[in-house]
Amino acid sequence: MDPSRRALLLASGTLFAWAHLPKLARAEGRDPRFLTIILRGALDGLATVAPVGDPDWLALRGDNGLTLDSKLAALKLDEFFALNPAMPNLHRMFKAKEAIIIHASATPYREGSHFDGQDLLESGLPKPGASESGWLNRALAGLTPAGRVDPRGSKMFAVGLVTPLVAHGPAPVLSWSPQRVLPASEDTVRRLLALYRDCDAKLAGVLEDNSKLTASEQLGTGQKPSAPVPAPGPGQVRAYFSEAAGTAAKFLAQPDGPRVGALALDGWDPHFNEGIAQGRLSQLLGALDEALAAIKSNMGPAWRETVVALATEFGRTARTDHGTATVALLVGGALKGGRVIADWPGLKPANLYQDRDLKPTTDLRAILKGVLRDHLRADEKTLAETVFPGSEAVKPMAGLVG
Amino acid sequence: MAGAYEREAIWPHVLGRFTDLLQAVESHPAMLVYLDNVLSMGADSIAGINQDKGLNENLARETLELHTLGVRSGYSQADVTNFAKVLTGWTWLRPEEPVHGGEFVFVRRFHEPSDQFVLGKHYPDSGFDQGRAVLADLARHPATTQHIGQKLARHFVADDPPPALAAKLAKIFLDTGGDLKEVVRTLVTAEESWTAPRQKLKPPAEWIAGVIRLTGTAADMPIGRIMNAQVALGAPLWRPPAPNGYSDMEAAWIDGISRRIDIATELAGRASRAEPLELLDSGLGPLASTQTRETVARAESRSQALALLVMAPEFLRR
Repeated sequence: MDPSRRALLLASGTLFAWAHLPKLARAEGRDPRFLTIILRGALDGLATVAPVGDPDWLALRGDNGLTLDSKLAALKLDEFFALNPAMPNLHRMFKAKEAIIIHASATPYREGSHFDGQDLLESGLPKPGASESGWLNRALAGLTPAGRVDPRGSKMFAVGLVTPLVAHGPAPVLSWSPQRVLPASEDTVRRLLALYRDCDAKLAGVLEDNSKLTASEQLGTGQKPSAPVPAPGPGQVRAYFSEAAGTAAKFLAQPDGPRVGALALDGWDPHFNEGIAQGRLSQLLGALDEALAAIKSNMGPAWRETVVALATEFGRTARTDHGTATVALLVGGALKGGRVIADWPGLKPANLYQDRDLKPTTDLRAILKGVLRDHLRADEKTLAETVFPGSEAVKPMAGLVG
Repeated sequence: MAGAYEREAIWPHVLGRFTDLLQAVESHPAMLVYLDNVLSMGADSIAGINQDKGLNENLARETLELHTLGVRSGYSQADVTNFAKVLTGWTWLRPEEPVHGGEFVFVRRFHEPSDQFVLGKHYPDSGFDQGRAVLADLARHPATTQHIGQKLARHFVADDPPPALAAKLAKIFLDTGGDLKEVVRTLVTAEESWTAPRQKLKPPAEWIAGVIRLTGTAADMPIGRIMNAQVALGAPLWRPPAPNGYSDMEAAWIDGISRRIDIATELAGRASRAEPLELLDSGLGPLASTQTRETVARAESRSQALALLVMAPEFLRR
C-alpha cells in the first residue's frame, strides 16, 4: 500500500460462526439470514421518512421538511409517509413488499448522550452502563445450535478491527474489515477545527489550509465552501458503505457460510448544515441506499430468506438537535413488507415529547424481538430475560416476517 | 541494523557517560555502514595502495557536525579530513564470516599509518586507539557540551528552549565530565523545564505511543498498524530521512496534523469500549480546557470522542 494513503475505517463488521445456526428454523426447512446494521450518531427519522400527511408537519420542520411537491420531491410510501429522495432503492424494495418502516420508535433511552444511547441500543440493556455483551450475540448464544462444526476449526476468525458491541458476547464471532478504507470523517475534522479555532490558532491554520474549509461554513451560514473539502467525498462514502454491506451479504449468501452478522456505520451526527435534501445527510442516506441495493444483489437467491434490521440510538428534534423517536428500517425478502408501521403520536405541540420532539410510541425492542422470534425462532422467554433483560412487558411485534 | 544499533549502542549508555555512548555509536557496524566508513581507506594504507581506493569523510564529518561539536563550531575541513584518516580501519566483519560476522573490527590494512592533527591537537598513530583518543577529547569539548545541552533542551522542552536551561545542561555536562544521569537529573529538576509554555508538538512516535497508552490498546495492537502510522506521519521506525535524525522542530510535523486525525480515528476505533471522559481525566486532568472537555463530551460516538481527545491541543502538545 502506498504509505501516504490514508488507511482507515469508518465501519466494522462481524459475522457469527457457523456453529450458531438457528436449528429450529432449519427444522422448518428454512435457512434464515439476519444482518443488523447499527447507524451510529442518531439518524434523523423525520428527515428519512417524513409524515407529509400530517397537517402539522410543515409547522414543525418548516423549510427543512421534505414534501411531495418540492423540487426534490420525497418518494411517496403511502397516503401519510414519504421517503427521502436519496433512497430510491429502498423505495423500490418497499414497493416490492421487501421493506418495513417502523416510525416513532425508540430504545428505552431518553437522554441526549450518544455514548449512552449507543450503549443501550447495542447492549439491549434497559439502562446505560458498562456491558460486555450485545443483544445480538446473546440472542445467538440462546439459540439451540444446529450442531454443525465450524469447518475452519476455530472459534474466532478475526481479520477486522473492531467488533461492534451489539455482537460482543459468548457466541464466537468472525470479523472482517472491508478492503476499502476511508479517511477520518469530515465531521471529525470540523469538530477539531472548531476546537482549534478556540484554543490553538496555529493548529487551526494548518488544518484550514489542509482541508480548505471556509469560515462561512463553520459559522453555519449555509454557504457552500469556497473550495471542496477533500475527503472523504460522497463517492468514497458510497463505495465504502456498499463494500462493507455487500461483503457481509456475500458471506451470508454462501451455502455453508455464516447466517447472522452485524455492521456499524458511523457518521449520522451532522450538527452542521444537515442537508436533508442536498447536503450531508442526503449523501449518507444515498450511500446507505446503495448499500442496501448491494446487499440485495449479493444475497442472490438467499435474499428471500433475509431480514436486515437498521437501527440508530435516537432521533432528532424539530430543530435537528439530539432527539428521541426515529425510524427503524427492516429490509429483506423474508418480510411481509410494503408497510409503514406507526402508532403515530401526531405533531401538534401538545403531542410532542417534551414540547419539541417526536414522541416515541413503539419500543425498538418489540421490533427486534419480533424479528428474532419469528425469523430466527429465538425463544420468547430468553428474549425477555437474557437478550433484552427486563423487557417482559415489551411484547414481540408479530407479523413482520412471513 | 538500526534496531540493533539502538539496542546495543544507545540504550546501554543513555544514563551513562557520554564518552562511552559516543565510542559505542561511532564503532557500531550500523553507523559504520550507514556513514560509509566500512570501505574508507587511508591513501597510504596497505589496502589503499593496493586497491587505489581512498578516504571517505562521511563518518568524520557527521561525528563533528551532528554527534559532538555541532555545525559552525570552529572546526575546519582539514580537521574533517584528518579525523577521517584517524577513523580509517574502523569497519566490520561481513555477516557471512562464521564466528564474528557482523561485529566491529579494526583492520590495520585500511588504516592511514601516520600521526594526525585534529582541532590543533597531535594524535600519534596508535592504530585503533588513535580514534578512541580523538573521540574522548570530542566528548568533553566545550562545544560538544553546549551542542548536547541545546539538543536535549530542544527535544524535551521547546523548539526554542530557554537559554538558561540549555546553559545549565551544558554546565553540568562539563562539570561532571559528561555524566548523562546528572544531565538528565538537571533537566527534570530545572524550573525552566516546567515553566515553559506547553507548546512542544509531540513528534509522531511519541504521540502514537501516547495514544496507545492512553487507550490501553497496546496488548492487541498489531505492530504493523503502528509502523504504518509512523510511515504515514513521516517518521518511519528506524529509518530517519537523513543523518541528523528525526526533527525536533514543530515545522517538520505540523503539516501531518490531518493525517494524525485519520490515524487517531483508526487507533480510537480499536478502543471503542474505553470511556472517553474518564480517559480525559486520567490523561489530561486539569490540563484539559473547557472547550476540549465539551468537544469530547459532545462527540457522536465513543470512538469519535477518543479521536477528538487525542487530537486535542493539550494532547498533541506538551
